[in-house]
Amino acid sequence: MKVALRLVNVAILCYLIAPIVVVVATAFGSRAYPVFPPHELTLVWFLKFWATPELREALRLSATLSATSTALATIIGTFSALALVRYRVRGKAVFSVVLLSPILFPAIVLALALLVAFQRVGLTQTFRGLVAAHTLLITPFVVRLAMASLAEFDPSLEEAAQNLGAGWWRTFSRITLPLILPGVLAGALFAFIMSFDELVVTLLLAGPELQTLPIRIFNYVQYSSDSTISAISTCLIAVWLIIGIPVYARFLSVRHSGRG
Amino acid sequence: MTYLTLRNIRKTYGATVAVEDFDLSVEAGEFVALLGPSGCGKTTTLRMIAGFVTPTAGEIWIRDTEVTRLPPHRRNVGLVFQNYALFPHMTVQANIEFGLHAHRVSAAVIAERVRSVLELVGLSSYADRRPHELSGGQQQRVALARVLVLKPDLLLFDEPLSNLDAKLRVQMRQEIRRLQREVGVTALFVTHDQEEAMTMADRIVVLERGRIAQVGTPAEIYDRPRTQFVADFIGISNFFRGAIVPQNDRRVFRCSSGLEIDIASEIADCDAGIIAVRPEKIEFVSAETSNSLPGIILQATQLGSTMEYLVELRSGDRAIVQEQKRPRVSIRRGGEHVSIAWQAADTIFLQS
Repeated sequence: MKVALRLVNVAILCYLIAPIVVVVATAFGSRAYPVFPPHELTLVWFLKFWATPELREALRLSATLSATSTALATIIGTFSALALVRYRVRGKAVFSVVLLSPILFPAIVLALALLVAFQRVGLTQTFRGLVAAHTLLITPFVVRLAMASLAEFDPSLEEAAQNLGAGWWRTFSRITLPLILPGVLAGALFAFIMSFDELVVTLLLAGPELQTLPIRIFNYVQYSSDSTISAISTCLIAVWLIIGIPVYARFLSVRHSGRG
Repeated sequence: MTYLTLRNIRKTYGATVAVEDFDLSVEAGEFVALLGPSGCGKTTTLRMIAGFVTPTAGEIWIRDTEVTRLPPHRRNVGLVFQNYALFPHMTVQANIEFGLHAHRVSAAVIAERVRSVLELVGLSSYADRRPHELSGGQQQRVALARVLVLKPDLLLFDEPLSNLDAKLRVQMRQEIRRLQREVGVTALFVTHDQEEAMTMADRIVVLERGRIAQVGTPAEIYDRPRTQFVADFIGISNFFRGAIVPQNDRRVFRCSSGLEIDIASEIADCDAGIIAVRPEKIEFVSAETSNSLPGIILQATQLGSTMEYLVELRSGDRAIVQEQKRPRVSIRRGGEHVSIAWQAADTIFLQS
């Protein structure tokens, strides 16, 4: 039984890792189209990615867009979660559902709705419009995870801080925020990944001047079959390994080591 | 000088009345216990003084300032929480410094005050520990140090000993009293433990369903409980209903069961028609003793240093008798025929 379970585990792990292995391997292959396993190793696709101005520009745009949206979503999401958990808000249930609805709707429905709305106020084909759309899409992740953290947070700690003479801001910045930070950071990390990865909504709202990385990749694979996309993917995987994993280990596993 | 004044405080939640007709004056340096069962309004009262709950009506004064509607962080009132509420992400030192930073005290003064308060509570060598590395008693001391360092006008305790084991609890009672006397701060202590209130407080306020049932020194509450609720809450279990009736040249208390109890002649009246006797004031006497009540022991229970007997009297009334275990006094058994009596002065006449 134990052996069977372990085999299932290994099988699932292989299933999850296999695409990543294939992508990384093809990025180093020398043929003009992706082959697995690669015959000869080369760095030419990485150089091509770097030498293609549209791709570099798209990477810069995506990073800026995701960082801005994530910052906004984190602030809005954290305070929304605080309001929902801490205070008796009138129509709390309705507010909660509305706030989480972007997760529930199909992306294409949301994209069309935003397109119609943004056309009225002139936000289509603008960076601000994309930031607004992305913030809307990713805030629910921050709200969800911050709410989970707050549910474990002992409200008497806030009362103790106030009792010791701390006003609202000191109580929030010194007591509440540090203690719910793991949840907030987890939410922010998810939010950033969702935003960086977003294609459907961005495709409808972005003009020719605002081609994010997912849009460029989408367009690229339509008429080209070389391994540049594998090289880009490999770079993103590397970034995740270097930044994401340590953040995950530092903040998101804190819950297991008790309060400390 | 009156230090803390609660004037006609009332707090309602919708149709539910949490606290009503609450009037209390506390003198400077006094240690007052708010005693009552859960849901009697004692914690609500404490939270109104701390500022976490706003009274529906009435006024709260600390010295000559009205604080009724002042936010919690603008009152200099120290609260020790039931679960201590220490900040888990900060060291002991940082926990104690927190309030000083909030009050914008200079760094040199902070260092000095933290050092002396740590010394006061005997935790000087624990400054760099985190709360979860401390025992319950030590956490309690940090919670106390954290409020004492601010030199509060008033110290509030919300059942602070209920999370400690029995032995430590007794130790911390004395410790808290010692610190309170040493600092000379006025204190209010919420508890549901009558023994805790008796041993610690200068004055006890007994609460019943949001109202004050009785205010008095521990001796007054113990010897002269005013109502059946107070008597019951502080551990008196013998109650007899009836009325005072004249009989020949004297007067007796005639219970509804027909049992007649001699009373001291100076007692004027008993308007509630109920009297009480503490179990330890009742003695076993020989059957010939005048005014003794014959009965039979139904049950004998060991209470450690005392024995508790449930006695059924001939009238059908039941009485609980507690007797110290002493050499040469044998332990009685169920079924034994006995006679009981108590001094007329030990009969407590209750009011409605």
